[in-house]
Amino acid sequence: MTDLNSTTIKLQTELHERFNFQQFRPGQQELLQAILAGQNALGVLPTGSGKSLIYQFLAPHLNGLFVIVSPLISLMSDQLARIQAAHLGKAAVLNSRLNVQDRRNILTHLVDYKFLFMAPETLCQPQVLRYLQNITIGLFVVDEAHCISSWGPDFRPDYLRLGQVQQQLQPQVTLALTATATDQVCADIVQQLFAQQSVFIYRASVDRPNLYLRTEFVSSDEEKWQRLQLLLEQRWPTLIYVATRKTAEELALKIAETTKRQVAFYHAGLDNLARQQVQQLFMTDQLDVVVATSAFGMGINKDNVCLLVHYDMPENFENYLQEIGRAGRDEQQALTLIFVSQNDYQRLQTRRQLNQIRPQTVTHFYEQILDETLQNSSGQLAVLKAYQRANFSEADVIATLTKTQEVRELQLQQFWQFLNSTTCLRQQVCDYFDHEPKVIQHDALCCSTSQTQSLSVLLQRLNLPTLVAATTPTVNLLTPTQVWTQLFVNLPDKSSS
Amino acid sequence: MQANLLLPLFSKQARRYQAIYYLLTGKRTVSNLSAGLAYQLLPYFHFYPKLSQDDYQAALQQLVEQHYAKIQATDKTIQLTSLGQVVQARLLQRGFWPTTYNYWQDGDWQLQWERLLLSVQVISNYQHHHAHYTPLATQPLVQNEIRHWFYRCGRTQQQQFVEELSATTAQLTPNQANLLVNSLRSSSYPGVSDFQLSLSLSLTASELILARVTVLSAFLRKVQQFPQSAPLRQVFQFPTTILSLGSTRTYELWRSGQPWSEIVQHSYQKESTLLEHLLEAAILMPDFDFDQPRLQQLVAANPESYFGQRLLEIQELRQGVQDD
Repeated sequence: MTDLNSTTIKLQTELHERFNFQQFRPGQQELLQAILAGQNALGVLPTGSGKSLIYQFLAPHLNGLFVIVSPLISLMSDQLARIQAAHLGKAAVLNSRLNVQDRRNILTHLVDYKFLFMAPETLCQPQVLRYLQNITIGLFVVDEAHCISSWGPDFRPDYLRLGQVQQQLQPQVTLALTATATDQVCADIVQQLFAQQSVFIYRASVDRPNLYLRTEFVSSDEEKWQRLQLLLEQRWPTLIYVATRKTAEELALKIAETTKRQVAFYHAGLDNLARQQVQQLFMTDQLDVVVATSAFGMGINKDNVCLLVHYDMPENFENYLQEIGRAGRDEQQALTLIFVSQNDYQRLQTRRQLNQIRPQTVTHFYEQILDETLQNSSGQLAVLKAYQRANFSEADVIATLTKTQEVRELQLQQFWQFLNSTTCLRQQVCDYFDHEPKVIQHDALCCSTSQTQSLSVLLQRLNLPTLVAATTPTVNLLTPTQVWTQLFVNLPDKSSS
Repeated sequence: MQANLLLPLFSKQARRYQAIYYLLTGKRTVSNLSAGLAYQLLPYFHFYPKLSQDDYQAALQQLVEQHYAKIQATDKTIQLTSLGQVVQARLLQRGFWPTTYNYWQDGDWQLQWERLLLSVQVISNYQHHHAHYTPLATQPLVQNEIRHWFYRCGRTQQQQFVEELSATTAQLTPNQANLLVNSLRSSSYPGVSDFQLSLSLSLTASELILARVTVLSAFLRKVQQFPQSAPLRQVFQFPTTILSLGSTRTYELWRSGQPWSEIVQHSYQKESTLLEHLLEAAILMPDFDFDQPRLQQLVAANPESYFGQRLLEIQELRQGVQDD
């Protein structure tokens, strides 16, 4: 038996024993082997491919703390909860929501932790860096590493400082992970994070053969709603993406009032516990429809979403790919459908223009001149402060913003072309993302547009699995006695309830 | 933010909307606390700690567009229109607005809510032998507290906890009890989502949060009547002092009769800061003695000072509140 085979078997045995999985998903094993051999690594793996398993798996193999940099608080909370629930090691999130005492407790007891999650802004704080420099960092993970590139859809200036921070921390190994990286974005990640170092790169194809891609053309909001009702007639576990929190709430209400589906909405405006509850109920099929903004995304693993609808269109391929990746994680056939509407496209254009930061605003910010735009938009102010923290000069910020705005415009145009195209959708997705795109064998289970095939015909052909009715169609609140019966084994005396 | 839910914070008299924002987000300054006292909004201190300035401003703008309120940009005040007062009254009649909630008595409602959810979850899961689950509390502080509480709880106390919980809930109104128990959950009881709960109770998502605070407040008042040793009572932390740390120290020294000059001399802080501590006590402490000769001497030393003026203002405000 060769050493490689022996290592493979050992890893697979461990995977089964610790995580109860039979085999690795593409890329996991390759990245693990590279890291265990002491190499830095960049993994571009599709959504649902188990990126977080890689660092979870490595916990007993590498000494020291694992620092995981992540862009979203919700994503960190999800990962933390998963690690805690699976007892994989002591873990914490370091963020601004902690009170002073909790924060100090974590920082002064870092050696007791195995996983520490934080946003780049937190990591770059001198106090945090001082504490981290005093301990061994076993693994430095940059999650959603595409945020490092201004060519990526979620560019965050604070990510640009991670290369410098990594040099200060001297981790044993660095791992960058992302699901959506074009060649350009990969090149930026390598340059920013691994400038002078060798790096193992694994890039999986973004193709997910079990996802059926569908573009659904509609001419009005009413027509869109009618088609959605048709889709909601069957009890498929369904995730619906919308553009705004308001739409999420309104659409969920409309669905609750007009269908018998168990529905809830999900967006970043909900508190952590409410979000956690929606996730939990959706995971266990107590809810079968969730209407969500993009906040419902990274890190949420529900296996059996077999209908994913983009009620509103996202801004680019990257977000589209990230979001359709929530469907069909059980590798069963799933339908992903996006409504294509000229109105939505116009709305998106308008919103983008409204959110653009003008050069004059940048100048006012750097020269500390009162600016009405900044007074009314803490979002724009936060972006400019992030650039300032990353030591960008005024000219650099204007140049970078001009470039990213051009990139965003280009990405939107490309995505709009894709939505209006008549050639194989899946092939276009692969051509856009993959380094060496394969040739897709287009067949009846690949993709279609509403211009060539009606929705009802498609639904009959796909024959997606419906949920067995585990719950009653309407929610009846329970009485206290009923709730106590379900919660507690030793019930209180009836007279007191 | 559902704009009309801000209406109970305003009145037909002009109010400084920024001071109200800072009060809601828990910025403890003499200026903000004074505003809270003047507007009788002190109980809502730290009520919306995560409310962003953008959301707040957008909500105010909406109230103006709906003709519920008028804003005076020059002095940054807001006042309700006649229509706004009507809508405010209707909203208060619906009964979900937490009129009885008091931060200084009930504690931080978000922490108290997490304590309740987590303690129920922990006992329920323990009884059903579920060891691996995600805690229903996001604050490490609450997780630690409940962990320690649980380790102290023996079998008898667990049963006592369940009985106390059930008995306390039974003292709430039926609607309140329903809202409370249907918000609980554990591995053996999945519960319902907030959206489903709000639909069932004909409330919006934002109204549900307020209704929950109302119920929690009523629940906590009953819990406070239990002896300190009761397992349910031990789940919650109630404020033992309502002053900030610095103010507590200064106020204790002041009350012990130590001369002001000595307090100033032995402190590392500036006199102006120490005077602000006294002002905080004047606003928040029910037994603050405005007539104490030492205090009068302190004011008399510089009656036109910020301290003197503020103290007089606070005294008048407190007198006004008592008269109301």
